[in-house]
Amino acid sequence: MKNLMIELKNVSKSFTYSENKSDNLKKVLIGFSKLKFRLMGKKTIQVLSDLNLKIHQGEFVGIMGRNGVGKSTLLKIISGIYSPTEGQVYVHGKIAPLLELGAGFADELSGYENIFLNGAILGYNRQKIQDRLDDIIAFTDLGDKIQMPVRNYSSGMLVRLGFSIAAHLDAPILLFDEILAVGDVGFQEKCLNKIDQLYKSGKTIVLVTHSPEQVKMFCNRCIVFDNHRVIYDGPTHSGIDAYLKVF
Amino acid sequence: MSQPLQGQSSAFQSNKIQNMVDLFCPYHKFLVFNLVQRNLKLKYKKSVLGFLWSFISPATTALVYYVVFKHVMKVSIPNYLTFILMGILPWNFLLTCLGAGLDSLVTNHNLLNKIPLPIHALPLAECLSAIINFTFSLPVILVVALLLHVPITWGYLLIPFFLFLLFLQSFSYALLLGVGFVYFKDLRHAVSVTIQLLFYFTPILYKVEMVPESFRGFVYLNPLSMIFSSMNQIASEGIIPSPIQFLHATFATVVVFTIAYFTFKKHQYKVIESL
Repeated sequence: MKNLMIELKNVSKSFTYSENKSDNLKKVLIGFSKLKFRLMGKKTIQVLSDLNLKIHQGEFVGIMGRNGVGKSTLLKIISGIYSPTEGQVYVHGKIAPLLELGAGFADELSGYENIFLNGAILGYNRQKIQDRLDDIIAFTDLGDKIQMPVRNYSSGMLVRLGFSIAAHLDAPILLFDEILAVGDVGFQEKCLNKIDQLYKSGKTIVLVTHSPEQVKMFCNRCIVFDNHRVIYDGPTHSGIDAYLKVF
Repeated sequence: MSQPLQGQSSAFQSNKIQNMVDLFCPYHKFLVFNLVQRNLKLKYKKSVLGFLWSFISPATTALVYYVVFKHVMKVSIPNYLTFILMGILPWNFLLTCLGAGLDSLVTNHNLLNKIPLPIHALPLAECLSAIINFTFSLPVILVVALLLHVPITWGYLLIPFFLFLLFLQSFSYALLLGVGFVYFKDLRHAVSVTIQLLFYFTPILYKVEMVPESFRGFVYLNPLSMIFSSMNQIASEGIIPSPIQFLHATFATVVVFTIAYFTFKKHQYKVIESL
């Protein structure tokens, strides 16, 4: 029985916001003085409902679904950025997430310095990052541009840097959120090869994608979301059909 | 190595002491170090000048207060200059922690909601940078003390202890501000006003004994008061703080820190979502 890496139990996530947002001390105090104790119209957006999920070591899970259905939120909950409104999340192992382009980069620092910053954010110490530094830089193929401030990077360069860091820092769990859309053909191929390598070395990978080809290529398990719920969780080939049926 | 359990809805983990230590980011030491290093580099890029500018402002304020209170109002506190310096400079440290702590969360909101990061690392790094900056100004106070022939007693060795308590309280207030920001985006204005008032409720410009008995309770209610009164009496007369001062300062710090810890833990995810 392989190790359980990620577990979600009855996880629900909703965001609330009030229409007459009294997030202003001045408004609240004025409201009191005018004896206006009106209830703020609260709107709740349910993003995930009662989700139960178990992911074991070595699995390569593809997550698919329409835009806005909760896939990114799921990854954010797994990586610890958001906390579930209900339910519990258990994660056993360090996560290297690649959730958004340029996430975790400080604009004014160079690519080189950002490698250290990003590594530090993910909880690695200087030595570990130093050990992998050469591999990371070599993989990006950015050459001298690594010394440029990140604010001047194109989206393709950002994804090269971000992916390289996540792929080389040796975290047991990798989360990729639609990141392979950007990047030129050469890099895409490099990426796919590297992902293959990581998968073969036993990493647990969760990939959110809109590309059935990518899912077919790698994933042994496919989860399809619709209406904030899982409508399919099983082997890839039927998963792709389920995804296409959603449209 | 298994990372500590993440995101359990609103359930607290069982080991509270361990979790209090988590507020100091033991798993992200390099991150905090990196952030502090960046802050300091930015400040000291122009070497000594960078430090001077941040010292000149509170030092000038202290000088003005000195002239007004010593020579105009004729307050009868011995060695008033060191008395004041040892009040204004730490107060400035507190202000920096609050301002920079909140700013660090606001300016980095993009970072915080796209990559998993212990958000308290940011205000922690700001408070650490601030205390390091403050430490550089301590020799100046020492020099002033020497020039004024202030008795330098063993009491001076106790100042780091009170600074440590002040650091814990300042970090706590920074965290509380961060949480407050979730609910009131214009908290900054309310806090500015409160801080100005609080300044006068803290024995920085005066000694506690000088406050009429009927008001003294307010000063004692202020968790910062015994920290400041201890430090300025050491700096001006070399008097070692009494056990009551020690106990009050320590107890107040523990209470403030505990409140900050529970409040922050409860609301920390909301902070990210509302930034």
